[in-house]
Amino acid sequence: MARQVDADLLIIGGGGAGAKAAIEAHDLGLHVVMLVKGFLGRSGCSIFAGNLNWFGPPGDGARPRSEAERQKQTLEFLAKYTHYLGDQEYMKNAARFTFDHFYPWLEERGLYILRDDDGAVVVDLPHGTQAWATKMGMSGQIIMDMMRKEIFRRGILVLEETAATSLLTAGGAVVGAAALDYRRGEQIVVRAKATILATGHSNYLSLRSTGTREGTAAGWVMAFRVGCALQNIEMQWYHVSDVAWPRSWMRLHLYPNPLPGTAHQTRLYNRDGELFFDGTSVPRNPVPYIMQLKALVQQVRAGKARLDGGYYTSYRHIEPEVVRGHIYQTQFVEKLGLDPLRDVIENGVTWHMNVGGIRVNGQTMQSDVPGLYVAGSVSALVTGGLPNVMYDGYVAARHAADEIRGRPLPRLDQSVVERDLARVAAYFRTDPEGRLLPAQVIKRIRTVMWEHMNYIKSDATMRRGLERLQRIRQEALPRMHVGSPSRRFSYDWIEAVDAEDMLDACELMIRFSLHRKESRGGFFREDYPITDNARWLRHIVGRLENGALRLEELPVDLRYAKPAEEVADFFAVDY
Amino acid sequence: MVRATVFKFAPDVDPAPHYETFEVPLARGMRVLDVLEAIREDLGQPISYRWLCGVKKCGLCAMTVNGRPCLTCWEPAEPDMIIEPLAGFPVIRDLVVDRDAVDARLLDVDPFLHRPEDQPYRGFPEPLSGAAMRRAGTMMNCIECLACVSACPVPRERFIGPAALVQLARWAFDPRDGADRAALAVAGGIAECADCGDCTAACPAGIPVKEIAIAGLRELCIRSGYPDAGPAPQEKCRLVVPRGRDR
Ligand SMILES: Cc1cc2nc3c(=O)[nH]c(=O)nc-3n(C[C@H](O)[C@H](O)[C@H](O)COP(=O)(O)OP(=O)(O)OC[C@H]3O[C@@H](n4cnc5c(N)ncnc54)[C@H](O)[C@@H]3O)c2cc1C
Repeated sequence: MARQVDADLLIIGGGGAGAKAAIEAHDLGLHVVMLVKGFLGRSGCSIFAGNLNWFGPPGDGARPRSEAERQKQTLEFLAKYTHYLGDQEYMKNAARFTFDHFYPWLEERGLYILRDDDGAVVVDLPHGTQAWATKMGMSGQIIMDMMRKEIFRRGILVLEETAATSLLTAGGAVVGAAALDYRRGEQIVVRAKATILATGHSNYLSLRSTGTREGTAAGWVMAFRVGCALQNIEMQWYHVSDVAWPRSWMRLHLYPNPLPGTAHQTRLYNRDGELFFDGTSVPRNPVPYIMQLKALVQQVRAGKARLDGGYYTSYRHIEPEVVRGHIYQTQFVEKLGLDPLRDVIENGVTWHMNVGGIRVNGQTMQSDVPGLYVAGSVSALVTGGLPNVMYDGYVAARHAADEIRGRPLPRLDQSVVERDLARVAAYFRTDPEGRLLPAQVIKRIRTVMWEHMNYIKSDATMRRGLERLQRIRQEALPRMHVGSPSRRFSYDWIEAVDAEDMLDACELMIRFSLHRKESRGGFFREDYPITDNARWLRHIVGRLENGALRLEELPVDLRYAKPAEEVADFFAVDY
Repeated sequence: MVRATVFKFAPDVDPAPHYETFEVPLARGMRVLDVLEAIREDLGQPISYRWLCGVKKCGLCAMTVNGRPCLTCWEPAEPDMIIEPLAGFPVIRDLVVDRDAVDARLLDVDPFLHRPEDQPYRGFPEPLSGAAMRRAGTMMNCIECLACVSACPVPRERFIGPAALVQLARWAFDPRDGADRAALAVAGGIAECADCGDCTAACPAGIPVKEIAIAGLRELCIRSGYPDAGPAPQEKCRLVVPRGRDR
């Protein structure tokens, strides 16, 4: 029998979105329970956030900027950053929150935003679009450490190393979740008046990816299974400037973005030592990431780089004080015996963030299913950005609090609970035929995604990928076993559950991708190398209906910014 | 090839701990963590270990490698390695340890900014200079991986440990903070520190734990009128009891 825990509000995920929601809801008087697959504030991607959007503040003596100008810049940036698929009203509100709440709330509690010796905030020159907590690369780690401690200080119940395995429904509403505490080897049922799903990006799906091992798309799949719509999940954002080796360091961003205290940005060189990308050379370019990807594709096609290596980041032209004093990443370069002021660092592409995710209401964070709110990068609203995910958590907690105040705890549907617990329990098996560790199966899935769903893809490669995934489902899933009869810290057990989720997510993602017949930003198809705003500036939305995926297209919010061109060569536009 | 001899023990099913040896091909720049991943993913051999980020941020992959505490995502693989759980912590399974008791101590140092009443926060960005924050900023590199705690020879009953002192120093060195951090340092047993520097040597974040965190806190203690917090290294050496592994 599973242990049962009751809560007013269940929060699933311990990154920026979940943590902010927990604090807000607790401070509004709710009894909050958190389920965190990793460690609170030490798992997921929030700890990776290096740059913090700045664009201001208005009236800053050094760089006077009007409120209107800041808003415009932020929106232009975010619209291009999401290839015009982002919800613009949401982006506007989130940008305002960044200034009105994110920075002051954290600074009041002790966050240190890097200053120079005269007290000015260190920004990129000349525009001042980013700020950093102590160093480039450290911001998220420091912020999340603060959030972790703020949560423990409040006595909020946090179940760490405990993964939600399904959302529980009763009478058409979400009433909690089933979970696996893999540290203790125990299944848990959490019953709650409302649930906030904040499980982060689905970015552990390919062999080279920036996500942590929890980024197995559980959030998407759990929500999809209870009837939520997924939106634009084909829009996978790849990242060019990640180290090629060693393997565990592939999530080390050697950002192409503006750097602290300098007008320079990193440069990329191909196999032959030719410069092929420098963010500063792209005029008024707010999204160097995407421009970098496009530049890399051209190098790969010319045989001068590979997706997994053979091109290099350089810091050689950047002031030594900046490289040594302000950038966390360069110590890794030194650890490999290289000199960041002289040597170049080999890079490879990673599967990074998702533009899409679970479709939600951008004003309330409500999903299509009653009782379920969605916050942070698991939703279709957020592509990245620690301030944005905290905005989501803040909004979701406030709306959930309003909705559930005074309401009794819901009744669980025991047949649903039993079915979900049994599904997970069945994965704890030690002796199937032809045994495979779940980690081996996950590696196969990630290999298929790397080989067939990489940045350069086409109808043919994706269909081949789909076939290979189906074969894994039929042949490998039944052979998964946990490596020991011990239930203590059986990561094998949770990985077996993950493997099934990953297969579902990857298949869905390929189906969405086959539907979008154009190329846009992080999404590139060799067979459709045009950005077709006339036909495809649309959301692709899919949900489960009668056991099958039903796709539809819905309009995009373009109220503040829209692309100039109807149809364009993919390589000619800067988004 | 890399030969890794790995500690294995599931206390609920194994009668006693044992070691297993695995061989995997040496990959470019390979870290210790990459070796463990290869053992599971490529050899299909089960081992339990904890890691999340792979880039020195989550602080959860510290283990004992060839007898020394190290962060396994940070240190390179060696041709012949013995990989054991982080010494000084109870084993949950294989290479996974129970950090809870030590993690709790990180909260005992009141790791929150306490602004003096007459200096309330007036909005972002507040007046603050980089120079004034330099020492505190160095402390903020701490990711609480607990390698220093594992290396520290002073018994834990009397001493809150180096990681907690780094966290304390972070707030003590912050010019915006008005709490009595010296009192917390004394209560945490800073006087027990043996001044051996093993913490600094173990720190993957390169924090001068002994030289800046602990020395700075001691200075503060003396300034605040706690004379017995200062170092007396020669005497202290006698007090150090070599600690076995609590497994
Ligand atoms: C390498 C990298 C660099 C980045 N750089 C920047 C940057 O410079 N600036 C910036 O603003 N943003 C950056 N981002 C993006 C930003 O960090 C993320 O978009 C954002 O922080 C995500 O926050 P989140 O709370 O939605 O998810 P996460 O922080 O990923 O948290 C997800 C949480 O959910 C938990 N979880 C997952 N599945 C389950 C489950 N089934 N049950 C229970 N818990 C679960 C995880 O353990 C984790 O605690 C970067 C991201 C990456 C990967």
